[in-house]
Amino acid sequence: MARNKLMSINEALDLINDGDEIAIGGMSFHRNPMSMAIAIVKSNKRDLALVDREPGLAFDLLTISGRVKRIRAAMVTFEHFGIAPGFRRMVEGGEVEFVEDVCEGVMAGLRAGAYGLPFMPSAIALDSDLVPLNVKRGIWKVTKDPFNDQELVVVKAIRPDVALVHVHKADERGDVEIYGPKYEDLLKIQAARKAIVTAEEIVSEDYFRDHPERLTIPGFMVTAVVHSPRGAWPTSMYGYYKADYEIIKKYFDSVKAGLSIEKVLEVFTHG
Amino acid sequence: MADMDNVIKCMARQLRDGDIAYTGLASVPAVLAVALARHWGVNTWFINVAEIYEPEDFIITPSSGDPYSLINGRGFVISLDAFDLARRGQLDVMFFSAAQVDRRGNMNLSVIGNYEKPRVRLPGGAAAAYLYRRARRIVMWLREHSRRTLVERVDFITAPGPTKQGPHLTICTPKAMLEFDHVSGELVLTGLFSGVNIDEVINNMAFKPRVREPLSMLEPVTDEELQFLGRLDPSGVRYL
Repeated sequence: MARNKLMSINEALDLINDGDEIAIGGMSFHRNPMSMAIAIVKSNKRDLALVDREPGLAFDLLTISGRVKRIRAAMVTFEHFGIAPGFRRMVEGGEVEFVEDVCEGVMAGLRAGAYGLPFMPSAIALDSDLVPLNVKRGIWKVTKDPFNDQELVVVKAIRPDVALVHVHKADERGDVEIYGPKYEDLLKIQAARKAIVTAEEIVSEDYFRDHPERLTIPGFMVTAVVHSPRGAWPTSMYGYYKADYEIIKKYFDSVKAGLSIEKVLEVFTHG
Repeated sequence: MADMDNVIKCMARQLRDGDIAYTGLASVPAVLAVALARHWGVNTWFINVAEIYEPEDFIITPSSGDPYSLINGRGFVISLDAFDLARRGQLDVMFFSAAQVDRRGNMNLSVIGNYEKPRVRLPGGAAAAYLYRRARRIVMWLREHSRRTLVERVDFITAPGPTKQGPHLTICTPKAMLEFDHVSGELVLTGLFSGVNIDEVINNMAFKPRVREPLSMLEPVTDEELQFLGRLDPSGVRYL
């Protein structure tokens, strides 16, 4: 019988150590692990690093929290609202180090991590100015294809300490269902040393026996399960609720106006 | 009628029957271009960063990654699979925008100014440093036809322009259309919106492009097309 992994958000927070690299689930304004991100902002964690391909709200909020020293992503955008406001402020001000990656680089790095391989070849264009930068940072390398001697960029495996992913359903064993878009969330969970899932619904053990095709992630990959209804709000949860763009706009304006993190958090108090 | 509607029409004109097209984040004009082409009867496959495969209808929101914005899909195709498709050379059309594009077709979505101490930290190029070279055809839109966006040399090469081997690059602006010429290795002017004077186009660029004669006359959106775009995007996200 598998261990019961259901715990409170504060117990899950204890699984995160200072200095950890955290992979953030979801994308843009969709299926972000908001409840966990807010809990981290309110905690006393320090020197965290974040990694994601095309992050949005949760990532930006963590970036301005003072708990994060380094972020890695391919694009940090608030889409048609503008450049992600916290990201822009913290990176322009030199308060957070930004490791600018490419979708291809984050995907290749997560794949290497998930596949248990040291690195992954990629199709990143050799003439991009990002190549010398990321070679210098030690996350990419230009090497030769051993079969045809052509140069290519390889990406070092990403092995986050923790993956934070918000899901639709989970049971106490950690078996998980994500409905609809998955982004790179499976790779993140596979590549990470610990996976914390927050779930809209905790289902009985019969759920996956009755609907075996709905299993997205087997429980042995999951470290902790937190029951967190509306845990993605104000980002969307496909099948459950839409993104609340009014709240997201309020966040955008508050951060742009330079409000304190305490004031910014008030944006999220009416979920 | 706003400039962006014409830009969207120019983008939609680049799509052909049988194309597999992908749209990314912050790309509402690209989603609308696909929708408009389909409205004309162009039979494209459509995959996207929202991961909704072959949506039947669209309700534009501030996020082109919004799965609720793409209605009645036939399933989910994740971006990992879409990008693998491109790496195999099977993605026909990818859409991009940029803060700067230069004579050589290099694009910048990283910084304005110095990289370490930027005047503006831009969001980053997302898939550009890979897909801008790996899709078969690139359709780019610029909201502004100006010396600020069409520069002699980008401040930072987020993604390098095409090579002589490809891909094909078309840029739609509110005034004109530019295409990458694989012989000269430069952008050339290939189309003008009716009523726009060629000097006005060239004087608003920081480099002087060659002109490919005869220039095609780009048609502005019709009332019917405008109505169609307005139904999908009633709050006008495309103008933001």
